[in-house]
Amino acid sequence: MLLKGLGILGIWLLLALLPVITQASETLYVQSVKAKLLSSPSFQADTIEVISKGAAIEVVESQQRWIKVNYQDKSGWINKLLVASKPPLNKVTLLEDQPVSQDARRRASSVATSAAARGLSAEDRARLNIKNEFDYAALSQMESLMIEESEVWEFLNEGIGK
Amino acid sequence: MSTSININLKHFAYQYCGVILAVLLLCGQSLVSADEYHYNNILIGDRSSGMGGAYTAISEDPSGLYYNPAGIVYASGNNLSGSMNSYHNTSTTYKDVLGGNQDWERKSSSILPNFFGIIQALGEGKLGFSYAVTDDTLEDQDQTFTNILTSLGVADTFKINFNNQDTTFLLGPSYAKKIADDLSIGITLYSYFRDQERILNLLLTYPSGDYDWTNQYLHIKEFGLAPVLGAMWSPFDKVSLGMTIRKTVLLDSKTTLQNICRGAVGSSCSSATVTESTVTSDEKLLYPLTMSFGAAYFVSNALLVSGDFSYYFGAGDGLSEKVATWNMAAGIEYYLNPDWALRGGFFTNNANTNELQSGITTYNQPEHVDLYGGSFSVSHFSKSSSITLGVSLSMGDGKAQLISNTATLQDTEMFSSTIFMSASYSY
Amino acid sequence: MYRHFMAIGFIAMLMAYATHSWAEADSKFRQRVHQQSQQDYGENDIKAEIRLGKAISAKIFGKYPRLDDQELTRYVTLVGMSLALHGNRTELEYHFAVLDTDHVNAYSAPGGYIFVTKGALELMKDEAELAAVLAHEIAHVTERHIVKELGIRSKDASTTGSIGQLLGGAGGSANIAFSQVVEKATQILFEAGFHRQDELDADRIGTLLLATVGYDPLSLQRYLKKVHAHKDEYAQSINTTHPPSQQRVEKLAQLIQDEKLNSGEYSVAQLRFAERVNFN
Repeated sequence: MLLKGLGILGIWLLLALLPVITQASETLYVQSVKAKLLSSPSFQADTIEVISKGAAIEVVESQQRWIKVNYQDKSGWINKLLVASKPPLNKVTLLEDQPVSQDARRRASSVATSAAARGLSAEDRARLNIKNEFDYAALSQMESLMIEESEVWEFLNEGIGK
Repeated sequence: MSTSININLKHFAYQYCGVILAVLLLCGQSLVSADEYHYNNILIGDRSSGMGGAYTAISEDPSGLYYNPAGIVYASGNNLSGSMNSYHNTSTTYKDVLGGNQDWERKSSSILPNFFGIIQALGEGKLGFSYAVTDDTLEDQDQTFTNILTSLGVADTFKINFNNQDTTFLLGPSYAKKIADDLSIGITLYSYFRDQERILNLLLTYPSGDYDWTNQYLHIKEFGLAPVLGAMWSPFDKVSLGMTIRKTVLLDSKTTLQNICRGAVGSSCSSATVTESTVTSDEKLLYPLTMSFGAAYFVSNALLVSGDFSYYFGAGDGLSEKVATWNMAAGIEYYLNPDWALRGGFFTNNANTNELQSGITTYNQPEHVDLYGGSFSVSHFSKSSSITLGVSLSMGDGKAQLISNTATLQDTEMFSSTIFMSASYSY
Repeated sequence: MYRHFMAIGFIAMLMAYATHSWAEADSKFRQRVHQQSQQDYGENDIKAEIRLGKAISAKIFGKYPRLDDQELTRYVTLVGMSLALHGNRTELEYHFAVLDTDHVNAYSAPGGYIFVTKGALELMKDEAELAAVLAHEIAHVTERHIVKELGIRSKDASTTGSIGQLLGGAGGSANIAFSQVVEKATQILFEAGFHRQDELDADRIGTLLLATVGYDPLSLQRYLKKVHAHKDEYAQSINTTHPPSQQRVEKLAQLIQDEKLNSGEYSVAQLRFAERVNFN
């Protein structure tokens, strides 16, 4: 009887503690390639540190557009746009990212086969150009331009100088 | 064909009971299946079953169509469906009832799809449709006893063939709507169907060559409406309160009882040649008004705790009286990770009869067994659906007064188990 | 004794709940862990998004031809990628192109395909204005406006999903044909436009992106005023597909004030722009 009573008491006390138990602090992850940890919630503030994509930070305080966080042993402000509650994904691409030129319709490449499995083969797409509704050739040319990330940073620093 | 509507069928049945025997399930209160004494025999629904049925304040998925239709406005996604299948077993043991020292056990076992529901957005509210089997008994027993002491001496053999099927199910549409930011109301308009068919065949043979034979056939068919009116309110963040009112009202009922017997010398079946009589009745049973209250605390997105309390008013009178009673349930749901969740719960299943009195000349009291149960389930989630596997057990003991027109009480034990598998799907 | 324990426990619980500070109900507390992750966009969802983006891009090219200027395209891409690297969807490969038309407009397709017209480039006077327009379009992609509007998701091919479908009794889910989705998306881009709030969000997030990278955050407002003043027919398409410039300029003014964006040093890289962008 005593045991049963203590058991029930324990359950009530556990229920009483529920609101308190579950106040845990939030962990966020940096989504952009680089994010600045600033000394105050303003775009003009000084940079304390530059944090890389994927780093985990702990929320201390939250405002409308800025959050105060702890990163390693430092504390500062970060813009909310740059972070999210799940770790960022790595690059996502599709198999058929290979550009397909007009000649490709003759080659039974694996790209064409898998594209066909997806319902619209490269050959079909090339043929659709005729109707002037879809221009997949132009898309291929758009996708064929690849620029190294290092060149982008160089370009940015040249123009902005920050 | 049909005699006066005022005939109380159970009273009628007593007269035909073989008083010789220590056990007669066809006597008096045994005319009803043991399930009619309880309101919480089968847990309904995917998520709710794992949580002991403590769902009145949650009800935000197809299971909610049964528990509290007001909750379905909070169902996520535009289209949802849910279903449940169970393997349901019950056993009731009446102690020392055969010849004064043997137990009599009634067992029921059935596999049934006992819930299906869908929810769809409609205008500003949500539309739903569901069916639920709230009671299902399938008893099938064939037994032979030898050398049983009866009031006419020791019988060589006592044969019982007993087959009892009793199913109750609900079917109907629901509609719910938000009437304020944190307040919603809903209604489920169930049609109620019940079908019971019971066949009992008893044969006693004596060394003298005399024999006593009784065959009884009972068929009850009920049709009615069982509306559920619900409301749900969220006074604070993470807290939800729910309330429902429901009542089953019979619109049509047809009962047929056929008795055939041939009595041994001294038996209560007075004819030494086979006689038959049939009685029918349109008398409609009265079912009680039920009110349920629930509270749920969504502690975090992984932990949910909830509790329910239901009160059943009294209904009917005489031998078909249902006494006012209550039930409670408590449940907890915990997500181990986005793919797996565990649920557990406790519930009561109290009898709607009075506690039996002994040592007084009170005869033919209906049995009273209060049950206590627990449930547990595991769920796995994928992008658009979830499947759940769970088990629910309940047990209890009490008293029965099986032998008609006598004051002796029998100790009674009940045990019920259900294994269920359910799924929900959103599209 | 037993009753005393029950009473103590019950009262302790009541006290705890009575003294706890209860927040006002928000609609999200009912969400369970699996629903949250169901809403997260996984790799397969992003692949579905890219597939759609390719088809929409091809359709855009069907309407306005691609301007075949290697140097110019490279320049626009460099500006665009500087912005994209500071955005919150760096798992996408962004691609940029210039459309050969005098219409003044810019478009974005899911998956990171960004377009700006020749007409728009002619109206700009410095790199910050180009960055502003690209930032606005990138914001449409990072905020998944089209993906959310059209409900673009990968299908549930798991075992649980199949069993659920079977037991749940709901057989065919709504399988919208791919081409219909493309139709709907291009209709949003060329005719109906995004929801007003989505456009204003893109303005706001685009401007904040500019500030983060270091471009002059006032440039979007500047550019919009120019478009508004530019009365000819080529500017009309912006007005049918976007909220009135007046409202956009006002909202931006509010944002600039809130975040004090009109103070501080920012770059416009005017010279570089003049070098790389000229159509004479």
